[in-house]
Amino acid sequence: MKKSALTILIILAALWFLVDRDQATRVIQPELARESVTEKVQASTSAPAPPGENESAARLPAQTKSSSPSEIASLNEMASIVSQFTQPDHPLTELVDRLQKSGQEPKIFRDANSETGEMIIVRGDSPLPGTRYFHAQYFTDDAGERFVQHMSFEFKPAPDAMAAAISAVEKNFNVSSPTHRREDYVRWKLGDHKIVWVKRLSDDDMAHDPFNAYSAADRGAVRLAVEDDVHAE
Amino acid sequence: MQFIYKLALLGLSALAATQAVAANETLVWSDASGLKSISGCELSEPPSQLKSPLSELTSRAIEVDQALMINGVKHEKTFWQASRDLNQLVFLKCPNKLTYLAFEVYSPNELRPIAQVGVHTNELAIFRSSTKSRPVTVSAAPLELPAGVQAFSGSTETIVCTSSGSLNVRDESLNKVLFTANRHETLKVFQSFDATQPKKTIGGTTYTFVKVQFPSRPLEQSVGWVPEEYVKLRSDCAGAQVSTPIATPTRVWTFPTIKRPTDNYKEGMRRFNASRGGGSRSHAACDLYRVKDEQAVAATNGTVIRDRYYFYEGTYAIDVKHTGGKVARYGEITGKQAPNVKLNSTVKTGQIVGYIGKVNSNCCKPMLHFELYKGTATGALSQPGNRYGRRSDLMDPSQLLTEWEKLTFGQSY
Repeated sequence: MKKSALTILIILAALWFLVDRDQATRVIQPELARESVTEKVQASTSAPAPPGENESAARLPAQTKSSSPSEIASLNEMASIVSQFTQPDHPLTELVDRLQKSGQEPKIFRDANSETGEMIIVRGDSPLPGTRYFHAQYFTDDAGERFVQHMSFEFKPAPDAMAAAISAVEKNFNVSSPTHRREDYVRWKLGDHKIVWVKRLSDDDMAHDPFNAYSAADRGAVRLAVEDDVHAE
Repeated sequence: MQFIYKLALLGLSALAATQAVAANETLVWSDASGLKSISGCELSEPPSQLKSPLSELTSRAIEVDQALMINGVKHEKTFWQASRDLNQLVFLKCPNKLTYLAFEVYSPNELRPIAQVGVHTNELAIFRSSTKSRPVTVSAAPLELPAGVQAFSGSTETIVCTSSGSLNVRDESLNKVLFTANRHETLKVFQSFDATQPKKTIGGTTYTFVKVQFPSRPLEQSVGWVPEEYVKLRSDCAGAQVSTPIATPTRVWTFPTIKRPTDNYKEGMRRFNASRGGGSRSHAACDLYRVKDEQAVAATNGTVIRDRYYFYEGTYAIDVKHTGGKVARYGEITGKQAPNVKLNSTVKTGQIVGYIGKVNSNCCKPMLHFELYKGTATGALSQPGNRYGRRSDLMDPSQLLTEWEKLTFGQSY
């Protein structure tokens, strides 16, 4: 009797061990299964939650290396491109040529209607290391000349990404002191009613971008953008 | 009517080849290469005996609703716009000793002319009496791209383009199916920060896989890997074009936010024409302060003529052509797509067109930046060269907003 009870106990214990261990694993690492199938796994004992709709502040990236020299070089190259081609007398065709010569495989999208005319989007399909999602929007003025309304790109997450992006703006744009400065956002005034800003993207920024794909691994990416100063404060 | 009759007689003839100009020909047509293809005709000075001023022809494109065959294609309706060279009208003198005024012919939704035609100057009175017209189209300079650069017409939207109903979306190993995506479902393709874009093949049939995100899905089921060959621009995928059901025409307007603005949009920096940029600019909209992520709605029935684009400091805009001709820009919205709203969608009064955003600088409360245009001009809404930085038919929306506010909420600022 005792032997039978003991046997049953052992069997039950074995069953518990097999079943509840999995549940325990899922409880301890609830994000692991998701991360392994959706993105590169970043070794972490506290995996970050995926982008949420109500989070407005960016969280610092977990365990990423500082930017490499080649990535910093790419950042400055892209900042230089944005600085140059958002100024007058630098037509779209020259931008495309520059992107093509640097191997970024530009693609042109022409969205036109008889009411509001033509918007041309230029996107780079093969970005420089450490950067991605180059995007430019051109409209046409009353004289038939194209002008850039928005131009931007992203820099990869890293502990020094924000500082590197700020430095790239200071180096490649003719700016003085910023008009706005926060830990995750800096903005400067440019001539010709334009602004340049850098921002560490929040979950909210990434959640609904209609052009760019994002996952949790992208948290901490920094966008650098030049655009028309709509508010002109 | 006389002109249209003549047009009917001549319009059905082939217009592709260069031909000698007949003695009494009312119209002389070019081929795709332009005016120079009209045999024997040369540019000339305006005739001295041209009777009436032609200023109206330089500001309007005349609607011709007589079906025409142009270069082998039938066009039910075209718009004829007087050609200009350095702001001067273009005249042709032809071997039959007649003088023609050159026109560019547009199909309704094209920004580039489909043909050029000379109209005998004695027939121009017909155009002056025409009541159907639209504003002149300004064509952008031709885009000369380096060899090898791909160009596409339409939006950047990419979708699942399969012949069957669904597509397996796999994990990174490609061995496990995470979920299935629907045919024509919108997706976005990841770009890698690394120089190389990892491409993989799977045994059996060889596919190259790309990592994608499905924006309409819950986050935990939105990312995976699919064969690249099944990812296409919507404009390139047969059968995937957006259908546009005809909206029930009404003249009912509504306020473009679902609750009254928290602050008076006709005062302070929020009002139209408020001084900006230290006095160098003027505000081109009314700023309707509301709550982040709250719905912005169509003021009346219309068609989305430009889907979300980057507008300002992390916010977006969407352009709608409304019934009655006005064009509205709903600015400083988030990137979140409203249900059933995309390029060329029809929208109805009060339908959600976007969600109220907040600019990066946190200068102000979340708002809908509402711009309104009369619809009497064409071209980009943003335009350099004036203090608003906007197209010439920009209007002050304050009065209409006040009326809509009363209609919608029973009170107004």
